[in-house]
Amino acid sequence: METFKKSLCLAVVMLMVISVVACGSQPAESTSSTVAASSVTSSASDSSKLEDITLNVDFMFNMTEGTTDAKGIAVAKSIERMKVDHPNITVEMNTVSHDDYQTSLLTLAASNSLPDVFNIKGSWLKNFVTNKQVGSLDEYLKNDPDWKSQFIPDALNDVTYQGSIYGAPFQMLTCGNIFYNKAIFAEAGYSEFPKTWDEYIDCLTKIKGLGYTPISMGNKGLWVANSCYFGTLGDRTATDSWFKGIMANSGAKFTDPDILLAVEKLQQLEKIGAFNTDMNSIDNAQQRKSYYNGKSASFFEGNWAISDMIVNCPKEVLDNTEIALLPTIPGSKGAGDRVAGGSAWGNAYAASLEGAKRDAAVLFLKYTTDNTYGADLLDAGDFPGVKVADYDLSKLNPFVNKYYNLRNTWTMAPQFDCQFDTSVIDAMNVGFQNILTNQITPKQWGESVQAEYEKSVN
Amino acid sequence: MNKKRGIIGKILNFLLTTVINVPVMLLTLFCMFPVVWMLYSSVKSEKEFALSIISFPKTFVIQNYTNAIKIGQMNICLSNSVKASILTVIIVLVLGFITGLIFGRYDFKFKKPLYIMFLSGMLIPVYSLLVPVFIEMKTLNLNDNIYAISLIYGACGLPLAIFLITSYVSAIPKEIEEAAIIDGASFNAIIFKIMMPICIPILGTVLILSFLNAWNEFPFALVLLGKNTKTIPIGLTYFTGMYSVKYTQLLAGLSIATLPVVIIYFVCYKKIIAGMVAGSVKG
Amino acid sequence: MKGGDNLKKDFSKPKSWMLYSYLAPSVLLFVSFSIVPMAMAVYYSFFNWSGGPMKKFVGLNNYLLLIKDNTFWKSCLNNIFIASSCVVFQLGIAFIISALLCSKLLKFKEFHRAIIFFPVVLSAVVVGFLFRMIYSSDNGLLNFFLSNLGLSSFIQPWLDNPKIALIFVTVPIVWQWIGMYVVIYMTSIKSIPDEIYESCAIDGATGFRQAIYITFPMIMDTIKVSVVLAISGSMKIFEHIYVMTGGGPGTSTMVMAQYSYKSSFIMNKMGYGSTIAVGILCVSLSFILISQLLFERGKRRYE
Repeated sequence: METFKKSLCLAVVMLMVISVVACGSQPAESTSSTVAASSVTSSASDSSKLEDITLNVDFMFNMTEGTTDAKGIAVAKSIERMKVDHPNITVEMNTVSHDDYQTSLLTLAASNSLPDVFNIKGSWLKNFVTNKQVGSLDEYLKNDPDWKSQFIPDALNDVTYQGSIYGAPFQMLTCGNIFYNKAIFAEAGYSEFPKTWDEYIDCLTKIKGLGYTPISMGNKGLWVANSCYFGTLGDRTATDSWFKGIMANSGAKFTDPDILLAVEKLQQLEKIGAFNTDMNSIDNAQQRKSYYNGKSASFFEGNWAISDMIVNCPKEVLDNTEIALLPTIPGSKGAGDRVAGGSAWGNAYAASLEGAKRDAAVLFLKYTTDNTYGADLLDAGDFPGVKVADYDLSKLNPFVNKYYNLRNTWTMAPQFDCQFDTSVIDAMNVGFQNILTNQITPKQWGESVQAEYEKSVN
Repeated sequence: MNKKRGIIGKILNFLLTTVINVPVMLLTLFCMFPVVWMLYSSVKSEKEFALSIISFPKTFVIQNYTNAIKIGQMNICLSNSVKASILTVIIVLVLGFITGLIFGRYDFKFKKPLYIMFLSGMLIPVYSLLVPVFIEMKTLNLNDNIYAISLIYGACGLPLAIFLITSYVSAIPKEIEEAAIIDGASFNAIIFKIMMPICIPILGTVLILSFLNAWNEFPFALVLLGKNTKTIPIGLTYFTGMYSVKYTQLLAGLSIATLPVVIIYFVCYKKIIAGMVAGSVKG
Repeated sequence: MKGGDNLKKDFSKPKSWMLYSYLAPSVLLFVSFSIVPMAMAVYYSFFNWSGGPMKKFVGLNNYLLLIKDNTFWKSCLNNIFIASSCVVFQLGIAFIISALLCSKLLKFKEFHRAIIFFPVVLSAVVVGFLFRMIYSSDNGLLNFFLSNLGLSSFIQPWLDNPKIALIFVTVPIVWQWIGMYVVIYMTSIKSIPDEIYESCAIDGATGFRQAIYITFPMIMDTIKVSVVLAISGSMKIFEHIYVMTGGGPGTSTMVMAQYSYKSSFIMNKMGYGSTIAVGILCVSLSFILISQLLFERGKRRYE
């Protein structure tokens, strides 16, 4: 009997633990966006019938005090602005770090618990739209032409799917920038950046002969080869028409000789020894390091590297740094002033929202992507997706200014890794690592990617 | 003759000692290096760190720690991690001990199936369970709850605890219990008054390991916890920006995160040693 | 006497219902929060699911795809390599060190005992970062030592060569948890009564012989458990490899858990990702079963 009592006690304790746990949940106001909570009450005193709306937002920008995340700083300012203009809308912001954002958001999506507002990547659009999880912005942009006109036209490419816009761009990237040290290039006999591919190969070979690493590459994350090299290379050799053909599934293939030429050129760079030997085990941040300490003559990266460069690059190197694009390729039609670029990401709202809450969410999207936000972002050292027409560029760091002026002379080419199906992108990326370690030929690359592509369009 | 043998013996002994001590010492020093490196790198400036990762710091930047606490919101994370880990340890120790004891001592009808059930729980990778666990917790309205996540951690930590305790218990001679039974001890008394003291070494080990697993756990914390309930591993991700990492601050955060575990390890280890010496089995 | 024995038997085992009621809380907790999610994952494996509200039932199709999936089997081989390395080196070194910690030959025992556990408390991110540093071409520790020892010819891009990357990615995994097994073995070794050692010492067995003929058999149960732990841990391994190489170059260091993650979260094939998880479960179970069988055979031969 005593043992029975003790067993009963144990069971009771367990039940108590479970009930403490269940009742110990946080009160509704301070829950994060993982619990969909919205308090919609009509305020009796306000005759204009404004409801109190709480928006649960999951962003990947760090907004804590003292952060150096430019987008975090700008979004925080946007939230304050919106609070002043629309005091009835409260924003519950949850920050999820960029590296884990995909895991977190896709888990929420799969469990039907998406937050009200979130960041969306171009390559995720197909899935989210097909699953009816993200809301369209077409109507809102039609009714607010002023907002729409603020965007750089090319910024809308990555957030558009089958003609409809699903996200508001908050940044504008160019991914295929070549940051090079003009002193080293001059040493090799090139006072100007090579204009044709053959000159480029010759230049790189000479630089290598001088003892430098011609190009430092950090492809550990798998995306650098695709984003910073292939997007632009592919445009040089196969041009926009091939890209459009792939997107429309109208006959273009990954085994087409034009696109394989781009892969061949990439492999050629590796074959002439232009890259560092550990290119697949260091990441994009580490590739800059080799450039900063003068060991390498150049590196390919997006404009996001600029904010790191102005802080961490030694003055002597930074003063000698120029920005260029890949040269033209003989026999191919791609122009030399095109660079893979776009917004890559956008701010989006959950398709399940309705009525006043949906309007509030889109309003929030406007505040976090409009010209004022754009100006705040430029102040903080990043590049917005809006034109920010009357911004005083002299406020910018001279290096940033240099980039900005160059960018205005370039045309945007599509970013493959923001437009293609995710399995195709993955096959491309893995294939690039194999190309760069000479495990496969360009033709084999084409075949493996084409196989994934065919699966994805069926 | 004897003297010669003595000298050769001494030389052989010396060689043997060196051959054994040198590699082990190298290994141990190598084990110490990461923690030491983490500590001294966390007070370097970011520029210094970018120039040389291994070198000793020339200036001591304590701001890394204050920044780490601010940006990583370490104060919130620390208290949440402590709550979750302590509750996990309690669950694993209590339930694991009883279950391990029963498995180790008695045979009963469903023993093998239950054993395999606990075993399979250990074999599925965590990321495959993310969506199911999230759906389950959301249905029970237990997400964003720092106490509820201990239930998940407890469930994950049970198999390890059970296996370790089972194997430890099965090595304990049966005479001890039998003596107690003859004296008329009840089942509860056997478990708590006799077996538990003997099992303190293994319980200490289980405590350290389950605390560690709860403290460092990331995937479930990522999806199940929110703004006010986040744990340290989540806070640490805030140092990794979209395109760059603030290494020195991250290392400061990691140092803050690792310190409690090291303390717990030393505290428990002393208890384990004490328990082993006080031991028991000889009585 | 006989009656006394029977009496003992009656009281030495508590009633079944009591055993089950004591087991109930932990079984309940485990089933609720571990088995139920697992069952859900198995359920998903029979569907094509891209993470949205619709799931398409495909029966065993995913499993048929899995059997033909080269990437999965390549990853499986990688996992098997890691698991074998762990069992042989991790457990082997841990056992040797544990035995040494109980012998007279080793100096600074307290120091070793305390420090060797340190790596276990480190997170996978730190270990991964640390070893990336060590293997780094520029000023990595490994190359530094090799060039100072005059072995520069051995220097190569350790993590970039698809043929050897796996080996170097396994080293940190093996290294990190040696300390954990040392602690587990020590706990077990210390429970062996001293008298056994003493009586064997009288018979002339010392040091090495002691380790093999006394210590090893007496902690055999613990060693069996540690083999299960090592295999299960290696089959699930993910973070370390992800931080160090991301599965590359190409797929040379891809492991099953990462492939499952990639399928679910990057390629939006959550159903197939669950199928891979079930595959991991089956492969792990088979290996553990094989290892236990080997133990039984070894035991019989030993006796």
